Amino acid sequence: MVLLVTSDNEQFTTEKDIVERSVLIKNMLEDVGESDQPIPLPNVSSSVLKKVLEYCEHHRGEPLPTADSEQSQDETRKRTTDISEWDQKFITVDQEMLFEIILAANYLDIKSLLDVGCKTVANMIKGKTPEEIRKLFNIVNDFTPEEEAQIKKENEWAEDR
Amino acid sequence: MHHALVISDILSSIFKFTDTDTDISCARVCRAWQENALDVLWYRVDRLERLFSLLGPMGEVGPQLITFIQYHISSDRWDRFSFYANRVRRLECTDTSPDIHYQSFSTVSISRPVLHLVPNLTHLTWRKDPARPAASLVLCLLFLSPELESLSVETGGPSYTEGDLFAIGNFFEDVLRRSPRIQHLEFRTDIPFHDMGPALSNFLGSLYELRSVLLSHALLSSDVVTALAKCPLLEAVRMTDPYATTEVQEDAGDLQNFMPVMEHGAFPSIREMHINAHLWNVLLFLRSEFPTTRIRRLLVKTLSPEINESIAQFFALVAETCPEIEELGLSVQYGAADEDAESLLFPALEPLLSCASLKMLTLCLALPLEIDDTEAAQMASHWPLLQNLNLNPAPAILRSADKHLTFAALMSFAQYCPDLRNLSIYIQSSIIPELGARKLLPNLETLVLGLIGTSYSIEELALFLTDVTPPTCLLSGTPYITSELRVHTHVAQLKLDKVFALLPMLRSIHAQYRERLRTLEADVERLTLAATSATNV
Repeated sequence: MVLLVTSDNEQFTTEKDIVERSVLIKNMLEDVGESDQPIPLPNVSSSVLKKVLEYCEHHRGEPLPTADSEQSQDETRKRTTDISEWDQKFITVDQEMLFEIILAANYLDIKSLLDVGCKTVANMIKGKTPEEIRKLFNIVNDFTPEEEAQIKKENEWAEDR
Repeated sequence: MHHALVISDILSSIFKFTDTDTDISCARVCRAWQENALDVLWYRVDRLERLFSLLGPMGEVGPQLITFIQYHISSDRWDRFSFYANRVRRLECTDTSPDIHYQSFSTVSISRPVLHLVPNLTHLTWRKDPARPAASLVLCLLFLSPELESLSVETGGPSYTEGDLFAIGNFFEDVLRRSPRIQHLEFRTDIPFHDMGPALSNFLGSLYELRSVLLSHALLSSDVVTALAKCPLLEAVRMTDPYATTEVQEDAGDLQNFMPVMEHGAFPSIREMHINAHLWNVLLFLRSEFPTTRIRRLLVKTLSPEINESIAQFFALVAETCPEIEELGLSVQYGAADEDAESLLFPALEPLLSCASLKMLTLCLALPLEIDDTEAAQMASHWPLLQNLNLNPAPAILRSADKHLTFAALMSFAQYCPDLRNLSIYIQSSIIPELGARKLLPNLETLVLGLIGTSYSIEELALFLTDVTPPTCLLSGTPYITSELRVHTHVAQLKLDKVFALLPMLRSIHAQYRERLRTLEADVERLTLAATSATNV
């Protein structure tokens, strides 16, 4: 059993093989060895950790990605954005929670969860104009109209492919 | 806006899954997004025109030939060029249309404000206009960077001048000076080694970080291999198209007399070796002092006629010196040197049975390989990891009535080699195993079948193949038919095509049958449950 403490001081008790889907926690446990000491996660709140643990529990026992598979994926760039049915349901959350999950997956180093989150964002912006993307995420445009036009012009080639 | 959307790591993780059009939109969203989106968009550039047109408008000067409209490049243009060029990691120029006029290259070359145009480039592929051997090759020098890890170039021929050879010699020196840390090199050319002179071997011997090299088969000379033997990290020496039929050139003698000088400590890291030489020289080479036991892949091509005795000695020596071998290939293109030999018999292959790690074996021999079912079963049982087996696809005319390969051989592979993906084999007899003796080859992806006999029933063979191959497996007849056997095999091939034509229908019936069986089983289960609960009530 492993004890995790979130940023809002809530404690979570979970099993080792569940929480070890996080490379960060796996390494921590290997470093400290057998110990009852709680692991502090100052960057993760309780509501987000609850979701993350739900994901890890569902996927427990599945093989973790190796450095090898990582590399071969990098070669065939532009990966598929398919998401499995369960993951799809799991990640149907509000925008705030979606980005919190992505941040937590990045911090805890849970590659497959990070991918699910990033694929979801990629699907949200797919085919949208810059203005639509700004509206969607409430982003302020800090380009001058001339700058934006220049970038568009210099990258036009990619569009006619 | 959520603060995750300005973190560079997160943005680059998202842009791994976006398409090019979306990336362009993203680059225009805001400054924070621009950096990551442009890094993705410019990571790989496959048309030089994209980079050049940042420097000024380009127009046509001839059919499929473009150049700068004006030859003055301003400093703001260079700033924009660097803004993008610094992001390029891979430059792959393989298409020739439209070609960029030579004049544009010299404009770029003399007016550039920095030495390295694409300073972070790690991969460069350059296959432009092979009709002009050296002229197009030297143009790629402009893009070499100190970070370059992988260089793949092609220079054509076969018509080349003294000037071309001189330019190629200089080219090697320039590459060495600008990109000394190349790890992977591919050099394709029709220019034979002896014309290239020592320039190539000097070049190769100076690339101390080289890990893999791919050369045209005519370049794998003694001198080149002697030079490569000194590269401390070199793991793989490969040749292009090892199984392609090659015209024997005048200088074939040079190459076939393969005698590299192997000094102490030669090839310390070698894992994969391709050799183009007379088998007798290959035997000498494998006996020389270098760590042959590390070799996992070995491929030998010989352009000389060989005697069966040499082939047998070769396999025996491989088994002895490369016991961990995983992939072995032998290509003997020209007929046997011993006139009375009509086929190669199994005992020649037998020593290889001790190589338990064998995953791939490819034999392309001028003479047919004569084996029977028992011998095929021995191969299968000794090589449990086998993934690809391409046994000489040339048909063997039956010499002895009691020694031939039947479809039962396939069942040996089904029994012992669960990973078998590709099988290419000549079946000499039409005997088809009984229904009870049929086993599926679960992972078979391709089956290339040569068939000499014609005394089978088309339906029966089609049913057999449906039973033993997965529904996705591709089947074809052997393309390799020697002219003397063409008439003989033509009839057999026509009949085999009829068998293959029946397969899609049989496979779909199979699938429907299995589906129905599944539904039936589910029904039975449901009914049993219902019956039990009824009894309980």
